[in-house]
Amino acid sequence: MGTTSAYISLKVIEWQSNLARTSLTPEDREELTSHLDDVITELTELGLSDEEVWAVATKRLGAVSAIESEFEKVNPDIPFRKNGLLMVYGAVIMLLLQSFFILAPAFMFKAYHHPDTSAVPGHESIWPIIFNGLILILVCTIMALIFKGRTIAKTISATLLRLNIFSAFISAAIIIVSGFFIIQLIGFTALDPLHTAAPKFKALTQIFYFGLTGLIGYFLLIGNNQRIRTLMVFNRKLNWKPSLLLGAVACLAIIFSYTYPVPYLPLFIGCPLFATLGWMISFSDKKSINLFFGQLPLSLFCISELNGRYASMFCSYYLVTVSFMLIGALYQNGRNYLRKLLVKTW
Amino acid sequence: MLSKELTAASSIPIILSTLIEGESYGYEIIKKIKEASNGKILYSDGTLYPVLRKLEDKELIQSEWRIAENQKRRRYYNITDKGVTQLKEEKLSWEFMNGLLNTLWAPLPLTSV
Repeated sequence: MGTTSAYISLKVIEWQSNLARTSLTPEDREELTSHLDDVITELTELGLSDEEVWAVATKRLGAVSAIESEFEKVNPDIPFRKNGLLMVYGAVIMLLLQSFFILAPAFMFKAYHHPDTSAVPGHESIWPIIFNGLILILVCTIMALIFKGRTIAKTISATLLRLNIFSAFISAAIIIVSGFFIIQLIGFTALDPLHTAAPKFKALTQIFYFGLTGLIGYFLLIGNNQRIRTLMVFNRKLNWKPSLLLGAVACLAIIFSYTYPVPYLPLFIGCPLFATLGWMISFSDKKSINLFFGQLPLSLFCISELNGRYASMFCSYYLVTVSFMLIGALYQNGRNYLRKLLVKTW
Repeated sequence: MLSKELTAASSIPIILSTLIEGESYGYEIIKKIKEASNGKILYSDGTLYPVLRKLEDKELIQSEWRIAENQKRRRYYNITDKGVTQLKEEKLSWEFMNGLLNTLWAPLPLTSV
């Protein structure tokens, strides 16, 4: 649209802002804008006036509300997904703030009172610096939100939408890590001297965090991206990047499960997760590469535990993933073969 | 001008037929349909895209974003093997319907209808 007038450019911006208020995905909006550009170029070349070009172009594309309702016929749950996505972002931001400003200091306080906890450095002089630093960050965050809140929200939202899969990974990681902090605090005897509430809270926390992680997976990986509206489409389009991130999320979940003193819990959590990953990878194009990257975080974790008592457990994750990938591949091949046979016979 | 119902019912074979000649993008698909029908089929351009999504979900077509000759990103659509099979089936169905209507109309003086 290099030669379009200021009038048309202004109208296009107005039209785009109307489109942005609908439940259409960024990809849909980009495609429609590109179409509008083509129509405008064609009409301008015919020698119509700016007003005429705009009137004809928008008439040909149809009203924004009509376009949205047509999209909703194909995907009736688009508005639900969009609202769900906003809710998930809200929950993740809340958890991030909670981890930074409440849980992390509390965790440090706990570590300070239990010097045997090796996860945190034991130098006493470091605490005032960390606490002051956190307070400073908190004040800066509040100031930034007060003065530039709208811009920050828009930038974060645009970045997250652009880095779709990566933002899903970050969100899942935030939830898992903040869940880890919560579990550590629940086990803090000073808060629960009789040790009666901890097991119940741990179970509830587990349900909450895993539920939230599942929601993030759904809304960010499937709900938000037009190309991956269904799980099967997502599986088919899997490449090494989402495989690596999904493998890392599954691995984080296993690490998280170590915070519970339940025997074989990492196995009960890890096996279904890696089985699902193997199943998903079996539908993708480059199965071997995806399998390698999906298992890479696990392999790194495995190397650190080679001589440990969990070595056999990691080996079983590996076997589960591979076997489910093979079952998936066989199922898919069998299905394709049967379909071809049926078409030929018919 | 054709009715909305008929236009909607025939949209899948029409779009698949435009893609059988090779890859294309939304604006070009609409243009081809308008030219081939001498302007008798008039889709509202914006409503083409939901149909394309539906076809992509059914694996009848696939899409890819690329930089076009105008240096802007553009989404190109291609027909898949499954789409070709579907189009063959659609062709048989529409030929059957055409034959059936011709048979039923043969004894009628259609000019008086």
